[in-house]
Amino acid sequence: MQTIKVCDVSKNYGDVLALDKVNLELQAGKIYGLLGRNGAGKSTLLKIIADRIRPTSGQILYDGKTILDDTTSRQLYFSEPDKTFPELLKVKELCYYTSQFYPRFNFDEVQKILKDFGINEKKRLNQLSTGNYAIVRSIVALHTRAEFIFLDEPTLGHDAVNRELFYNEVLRIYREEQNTIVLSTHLIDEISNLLEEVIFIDRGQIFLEDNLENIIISHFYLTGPSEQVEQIERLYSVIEKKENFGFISLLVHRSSLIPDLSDNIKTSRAGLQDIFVAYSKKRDK
Amino acid sequence: MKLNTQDQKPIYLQIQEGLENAILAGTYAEETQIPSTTELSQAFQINPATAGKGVNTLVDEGFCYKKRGIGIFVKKGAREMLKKKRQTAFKETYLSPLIKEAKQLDISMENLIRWIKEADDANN
Repeated sequence: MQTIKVCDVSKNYGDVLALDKVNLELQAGKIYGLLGRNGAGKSTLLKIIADRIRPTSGQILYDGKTILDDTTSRQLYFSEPDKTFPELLKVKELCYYTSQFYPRFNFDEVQKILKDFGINEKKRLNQLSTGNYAIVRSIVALHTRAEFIFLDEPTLGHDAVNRELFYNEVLRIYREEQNTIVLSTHLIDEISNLLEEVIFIDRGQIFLEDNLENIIISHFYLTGPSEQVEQIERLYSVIEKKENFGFISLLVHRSSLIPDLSDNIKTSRAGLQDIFVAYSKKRDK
Repeated sequence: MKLNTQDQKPIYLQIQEGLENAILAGTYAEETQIPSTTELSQAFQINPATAGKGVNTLVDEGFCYKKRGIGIFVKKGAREMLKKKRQTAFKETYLSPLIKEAKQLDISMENLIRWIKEADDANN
């Protein structure tokens, strides 16, 4: 599969609009970060893409086709935090059944990796701690080596050591497969180094979607004495303005060239999380 | 070479600068191979595309060249070229902020120059 296109997708749960005319194109061979606050619509969007639930309106195109058939459904894997597997299944059995559906799943390799994470393959899924369950489902998901892998909150409940092991595993599978991996999370800073593309979602709308580097280099802080900053403020698209003790700090999007700044105004870079928070607050207003 | 994830400088620029520093220091001699995109991605836990961008900038700016199917190599004369590039950037990166801060603190030019000489003597 080369592309998955989300076309004008909306989803209502009763009166609640969970997704509002979302358009998105996912391309082969990239790691995406689907980033948003709790309840932003991340899981709903992924469930619709994975064909677990139907949109209220709009459609998903898999290489231009509206339906996942027996072949194309094996090119896609969706792993969600809800406990959707039969709870009496043993870890080993989950691996076995997954390998039956995804032929590139290497049963022996996965057993070894799960052992490295300290997981007993003979345990039933309902006997696992929250953290270990998350490890099992995310490792199993990565090792389907499907062309499009969607991981919804993959590190929910992982401790710091296991999160790092897991991120290494994401990059290893990606280097080996050059597939598309979509990581949906609210832990933005933690995964930003893994990403090539960033999708910011808030209240059912995608409000920013771009290459990670483009986002980082096109946003920056301008800080200086209030009067001087106010003089140049109108030259920029301002996302956030903080005033403290006679100083103003602006987070701006560079839409045009930077004019010569007075010596008293300093520029500095913003991280992905700062940028996300600033946009979200602006949208709250 | 070390990455600083707290630093908000884009990671690909940090990769590029780290490799430049290693070439300047002679860690990667001219006509020898620099780490591959895969190795950098593994070592620093970063997206291979990000690592690739850092490496490719060195190729685009003419400090390194690609040997097809083998990897990226340091060009002959790259160290001198890099020194020139860094010298040009020196004014902007180091002198401007230094002078700005000196002015804010009413440090005279004479004093500043004297301090630089003293610091240099102390280092030698």
